[in-house]
Amino acid sequence: MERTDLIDRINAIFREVFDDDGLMVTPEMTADDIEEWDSLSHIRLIVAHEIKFGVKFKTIEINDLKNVGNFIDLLKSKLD
Amino acid sequence: MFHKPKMHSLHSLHEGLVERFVFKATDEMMQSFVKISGDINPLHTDVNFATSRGFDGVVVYGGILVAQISRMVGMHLPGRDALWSSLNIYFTHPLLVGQTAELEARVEHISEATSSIEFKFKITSQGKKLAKGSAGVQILKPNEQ
Repeated sequence: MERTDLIDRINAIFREVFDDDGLMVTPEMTADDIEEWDSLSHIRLIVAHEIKFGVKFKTIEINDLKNVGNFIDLLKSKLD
Repeated sequence: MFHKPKMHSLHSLHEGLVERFVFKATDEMMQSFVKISGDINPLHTDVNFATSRGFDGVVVYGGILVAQISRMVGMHLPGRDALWSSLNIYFTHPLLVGQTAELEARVEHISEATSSIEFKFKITSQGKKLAKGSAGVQILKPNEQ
């Protein structure tokens, strides 16, 4: 999957989880940039990506993420 | 009637696992729900009103069906260490007081990274699907010392 297509799909999931139709993800984005990004919405976010992309993440993979760009890279590595 | 909750962990569950139980909607449940919710809508409290609106009897509160999903989460999937995080539910047919129904839940997704599960459920009675939906539940771990 092309990176731009992947970001479009990720963006749609973020918008659904955070109920924000205007949200635009960027590689530099972190949880500090979205007010509703708390521990429970974080779980919904990860699980939504697992289900919609048919992948599974490991705890250590998620704990190592620094920003959305890291997450895009991790997801792309599982899909390639 | 009351048993100890199961103590599932992520590793004792698997995708496709099914849990089910049968329950009966009683007058006592309805009276208790009035106290909990403050909802005395006549569809749930007045048989004449309910029949005048096309139902065969007093309609059981949707909240009582949700209470049975709570029982599924807290007692079965996963049981003791549950922290319920999400619920999507569609009500498709009414349950009437005095009727029995079966709640069946199937584990659809296990997320190791978030220590959580997603299950789909359906509630059926007399061959009809009364409600369906999905729920997300975190499985809590003891604090590390």
